[in-house]
Order: sequence, then C-alpha cells, then structure tokens
Amino acid sequence: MAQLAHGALLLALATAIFGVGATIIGERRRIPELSQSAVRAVVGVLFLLLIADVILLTAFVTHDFSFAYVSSRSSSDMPLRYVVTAFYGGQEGSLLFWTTMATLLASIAFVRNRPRFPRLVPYAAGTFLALTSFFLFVLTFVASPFEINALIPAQGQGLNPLLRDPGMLVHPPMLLSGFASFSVPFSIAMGALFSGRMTREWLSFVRTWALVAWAILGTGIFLGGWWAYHVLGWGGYWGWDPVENVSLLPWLTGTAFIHSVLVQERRGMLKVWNMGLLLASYVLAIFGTFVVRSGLIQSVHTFAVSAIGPYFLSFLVVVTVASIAVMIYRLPMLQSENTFDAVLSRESGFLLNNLIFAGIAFATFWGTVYPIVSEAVTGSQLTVGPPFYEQVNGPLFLIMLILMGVGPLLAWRRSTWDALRRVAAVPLALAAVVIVVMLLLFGQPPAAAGVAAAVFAIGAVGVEYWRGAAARRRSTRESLPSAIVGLTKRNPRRFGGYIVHLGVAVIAIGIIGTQFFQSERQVMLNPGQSTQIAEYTLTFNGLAQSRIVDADVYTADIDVASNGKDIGVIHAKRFFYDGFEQQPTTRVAVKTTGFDDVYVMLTEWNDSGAAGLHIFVNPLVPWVWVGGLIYMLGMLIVFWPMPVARRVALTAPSRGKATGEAAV
Amino acid sequence: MKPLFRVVGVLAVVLVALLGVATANAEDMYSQRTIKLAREIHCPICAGESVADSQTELARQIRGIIEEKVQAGESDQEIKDYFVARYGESILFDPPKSGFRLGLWWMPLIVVGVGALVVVSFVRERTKAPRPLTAEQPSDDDAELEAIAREVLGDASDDGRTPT
Repeated sequence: MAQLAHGALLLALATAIFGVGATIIGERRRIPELSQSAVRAVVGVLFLLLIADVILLTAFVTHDFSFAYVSSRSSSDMPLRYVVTAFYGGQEGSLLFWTTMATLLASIAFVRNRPRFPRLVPYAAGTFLALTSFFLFVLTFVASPFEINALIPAQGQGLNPLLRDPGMLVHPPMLLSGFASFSVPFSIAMGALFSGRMTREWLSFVRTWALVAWAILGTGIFLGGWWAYHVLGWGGYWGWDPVENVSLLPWLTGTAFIHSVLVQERRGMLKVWNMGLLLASYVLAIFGTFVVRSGLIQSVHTFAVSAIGPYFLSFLVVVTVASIAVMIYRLPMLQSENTFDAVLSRESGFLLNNLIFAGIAFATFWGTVYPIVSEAVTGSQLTVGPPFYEQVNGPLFLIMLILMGVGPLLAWRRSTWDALRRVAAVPLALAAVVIVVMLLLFGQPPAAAGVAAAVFAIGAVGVEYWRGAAARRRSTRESLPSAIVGLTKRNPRRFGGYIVHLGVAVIAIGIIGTQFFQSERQVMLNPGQSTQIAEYTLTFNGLAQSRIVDADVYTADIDVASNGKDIGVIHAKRFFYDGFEQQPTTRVAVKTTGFDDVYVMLTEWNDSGAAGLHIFVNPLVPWVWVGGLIYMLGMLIVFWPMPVARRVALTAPSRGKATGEAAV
Repeated sequence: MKPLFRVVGVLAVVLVALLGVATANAEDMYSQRTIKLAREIHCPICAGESVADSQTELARQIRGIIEEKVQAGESDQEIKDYFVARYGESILFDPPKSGFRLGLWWMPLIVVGVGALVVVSFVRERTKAPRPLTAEQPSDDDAELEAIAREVLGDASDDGRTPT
C-alpha cells in the first residue's frame, strides 16, 4: 500500500509539472485546449492526493506499523479519535494535509470560475501547480509519509501527550488549512498578472478567496488560543510564542488586504499595494508553515523538526523574487485610476488601517526573527518575550480599535469633520462615560482607554446599522428588526463585516480584562482546606487516581464558592500517558461565572494527600470566546450567498469591460 | 550564604506572622511578589515559558530561590540582578533596552513612523484641490443611504435590471 501511495504522489508530481508546462505552451501557442487542461491537472492532483490520504488514514486506523510515520505517531492503545488526528500530528502528514487542502480549495476556485475567467484561470492553475510541485517534491523525496519500517515494531510510539486533546481535532486542521488556503488568492493574483486580465471582476474573484483564506486562518488561530487556554495551563491563551506569531502574520496582512481591496474595488486605487499584500500574505503563510518545522526558531510548539528547512527557505526566496519580478513587469497595468477627493475620507481611513496592520505585522515579524538576527550579528542568543509585543503592539492595537470605530463613520470620497462629529456623537459619548467610570473604579489608564475604544467601535457599528435601517424604514415602514435583517441580506459583505468588527471589539474587552486584572496564587492545600482568591473560596476535597485507556489520571476535586455561595465543583487533572510518564500533561479546571473564569491547575501533590494548586482568576475571558463566536457569525454572514450577486453578474460585465480595456 | 538566607527567611516569616500583618495565607507556596518576579524570569531550559508557569524541577528551584530572597527582604532589582549574573540578560522577559536590543525596539517605531509619513504624503499628493461640499454635490455618504432606500423601493420589481 505504501508503494501505491508513493506512486500516487509521484504521479501527482508528474501531473503538476505537466500542468505547468501545459499552461506555458498552451498560452504561448494559443492552444486553449492545452491551457484548459492545466485546470484539469489541478483536479487530477487532488484525486491522486486523496488516494494517498486514504491510504495513510487506513494505515493509521488499522495500526499498520509497517509505515514508519504511523508507528512513530500512534499506538494501538490510543483512542481512535487521536489515532486519526495523528495523521497531521507530525511533519510529513501535516505537509500532506496542507497540500491536500490547498489543492481542494484551488480545485473549487478554479473549476467554478473557469467560465467567468477563461484566460486568467489557466494561468492561476499553472501558478498553483508550480507551487504544488514543490510540496509534492518534498513529500515524495524529502519528507515522505510513506517510508517503510525495515523492522515492523509490535507497538507504535504513540502521539505526543500534549496533542491528545479534543483541541487536536479542530485547531491543527484549521490552522494548516488556513495557511494552505492562501495559495489560492496568491495563484489568482499571479494568474491575473501573467494573463494581464486585470478587470474589476477578477478583483471580486481574488477578494472572495482571500476572505476564505483569512476566515479559515482566523478560526484556526482562535481555536488555538482556546486550546492553549485549556491545556497549556499558564492562565492565558496567547503567549507571543514564535509559532503563534507566524500564524498571526498572514492573518494581519490578509486583514489589511480585505480592507484596502475595497478602495481598489470602488476607486481603482492602491493596486500595487494590494498586490503586495497578497504576495506578502502567501509568503508569510509559507514562512509560518516552515518555521514550525525547521527548528530555525525555538518554540514550545516544536513537535517535529527535520531537514526540510533549507528546501523551504529556497522556495521562499524563489517565490518572493519571482512574484516581485512579475509585479514589476506588470507595473504599467497597476496604475491608479483615481485620486483622492479629500484628505478626510473612507479611503484615507483604510490607508491608516493598512498602516497599523502592516505595522503590527512588521513588529511581530521583527520580534520573531530578531533572535536569529542577533545570533548572526553578535553571536549571542537573545530572547524576545511578551513584554516586547505588549509594549509595541499594544498601542498599535489601541489605534486599530479607534480606527475600527472611526472608519465606518467616514464617508467615501469626502467627509467633513462636522459630519463625522455628528455621526460619532453617540458612540463618543458612550466611550467618554466608559473611560471615566473605568478610571474611577480601577485606575489603569491603558485598560480604560482600550475598553473605551472598543465601546466606541461597538457604538459605531450600532450607528451604521441604525442609519441603514432608518434609511430603509423611510421607504418601507417595516419594523426595526426586519429592517436590520433586510439590510444585512441586501449587503451581507458590509453588514457582516460590521458584525466581525463587533466580535473584535468584544474580544478586545476580554483581552484587556485578563491582561490587566488577572489575579494569581500558588497554594498547597490539605484535603478539606480552603483558600480565598478575589471573591472566590476554593475548597480542596481530595485527590483521586483513576485510569483511562492510555493514561493514569490524578484528579483534584475542588469546590468553588462565590461570596460564600456555592457555585459548583471543578476537577483539575494531571495525565501520565503510557510511554510518556516523564511528560505529564494538565487538564485545567475552569469555572466560568459569567464575568470571570476561576482557573485551577494541579501542579503537584505529596504522600499526605496535600495538593499544590496554581489558581488564576481571569476576568472577562468568556468575552474572548463569545467575541470569537460573534466574529465567526460575522464571517458566515459575509459569505452568505448574496441576492445581489445576480445583479452584479448582469451589470458587471459592461463595467468590467470598460475598466478592463482601460487597464489592459 | 544560603543557610543564612534560610534562617533570615524563617525569622522573617515568623516575625510577619507574629505581627499579624501577613499579606499571604499559610497555604500560599509563594508570596505575591515571588509570583510577580517569577513571571519576569525565563525558565532557562524551556522555550518561552516563565518560571511561574514551568513545571520543571529547575523552575521549581528558581521559584524557591526567589521566595527565599523575597522573604530575606531583597529588592526586586537585587533578585533580578542575581539571576542575570548567573544566566545572562536573556533570563529576563523584559531586559533593559540597551545594546543590541535597541535595534529590536527602534526598528518597528521607525517602520511605523516612516510608514505614517509615506501615507500622509501619498494622500496629500494624490488629493485634488479641495472643493467645498455644496447642496448640488452631496457627499458620497448621503448617496449611499439614498441607495439603500432606493434599493428597497426596487425590491418589489427587482428583476435584476435595476440600473445602478
């Protein structure tokens, strides 16, 4: 079976290379049949990859330890769900997963849009296949998941215990898919540059797929935070670890892109910048995929290190140089069609937004690679920890929150300070009240400013909905809720986007809560003994030992009371997995009380039955999760099939043709 | 050196307990100051974790040393200096902004600053001579709200041929 899978990958590599050739020759010699076959080659590669996937998955499920990858990542006594997740639990498998997801999304994108963009899509497919052949090359010759064990072991080594958590079912696949999906907008952008078909229509094509990539990656990052919070046990969900940082980078540039592309869509400006953001997002997504695996930067997430680093580094350099070269070649097509009408306008708001997102991305990138820079220049190791990111990105995020409020209130083309003051009056008043109350209650000016900015942004979303609904009701006389629903249905992109803003503001308030108002204690309690933290009393009832299928479990039973009132029992656990006894993992006990999380970790115990507990009270963490759900809801609305799409399809060609000819 | 610390530490604990001004309860393994300091010190053998979070034996020992020093009445700076002397500046999460580290801090500021200048000059350069808003030239914003209202009116007869 391994040979069959290996063969499928080889064939996929051959198909991909054929597709690249077909694009080049087909477009050069004007043989449409040939260049169309590039699109079919993408589907063919997908089919072959799926064969390899099914074989690997079958090997996992049947515990076929003749596969080196299977025996090194799983064992037959692991629960089935973790056996399945072991598929992407290591280097080779996660690369295979990455490539499959990229090809799946690319197939959907290219097959669906081929009729609309007959010239662009073959080029995009060719670009995609060129990128994919690199991955297939690595999978076939450098890091194959189908190596065979010379001696078949009776039992596998099992999955790293840190990865045996329900979070493993969702976070890695989302994050890997998020990284992988940036290949699609990148290929479309390169396809547009190669083919020279830079009409306004292609922009909606690339924007849709940039949004898809951005949404998947964002969800992946969010799930990662949720997982870290419940498993890693340091009372937080984001530690500015290099691996977290590199996943944030393409998300940041992607966020910048989905905002500034609106300026290009409406005003035909910022073309070079937008193209640059797309290229940067892809390069950063590759960077993110590769840093985790290369061992180049030390991280708690380094689960697999191998020799593929140099290959990825060369790939990065080639892709960067090539895409910049193509962009320079097509620079005449990327001329601005318009100028600004006024300094104060939605357009300039988007530019500032881009400046801030690019700034955060740069600072994060710089902090992540600075240890390498330092080692190269001074020869000495140096670490960059959370304080750097908090002090540099913190203020930038504050500005971002303020812009998130101001931006939607600015009119396109031209706005006046008077008009802005009028629409911003209510949100501004709300923010002022919040800042005063926060300062009186807690002091902490940065926290007060942050919450006020978030409230301002929420207010701005309210104003936008209110104004839109009022405009509708003037003509329809419908009720407010139905006006809001109608409004959102009419323009899901805009009003779904505002829901995303709302989610971000709620997340921001949650983050500020934990960042500034967390309390923490480390205590040693005898059974029956209580301790106090904030308004909560925790009583340790005792320690129990039990056995699950693949581990010994120690459970501390803890009663939680709030202001003397009992609110429930929680269980802080420690797992000792078979074969990994030296590497115990924690399952944090969390009691959510609406505003606070009481967060308890079992750290140690002694023979007399006393337990060491690390206790946190994390205010407002539930807001982070609720905000994340609002954010995802917003994204769903954005992707909701538009009734307007029909109209766009009918009117766009004429407009597209006009501007297309101007551009070509 | 160490036994002396311990004696002083025990004395301090007893003294504090006797005076009844204990800020920590008996069950506390570490004082609040120790926890705060432990958050500022890297666990030397784990990637990216502080000694407050790490479950390794070394981190536990370091927490113990910090606690002893806190009980002995050493200042935060003295305690940090002690670890810097042994492990180098990288042991601190937030080492002084000096030497080669300055490059870490200045670069993002320079990039954002230059970026801001570029954005401002770009907008100014590409802005047409400002025209005052007049009633005949409504702002785009009003036009947008009107469009929403118009869209709704067109709702009933929305056969996709509504010109936009």
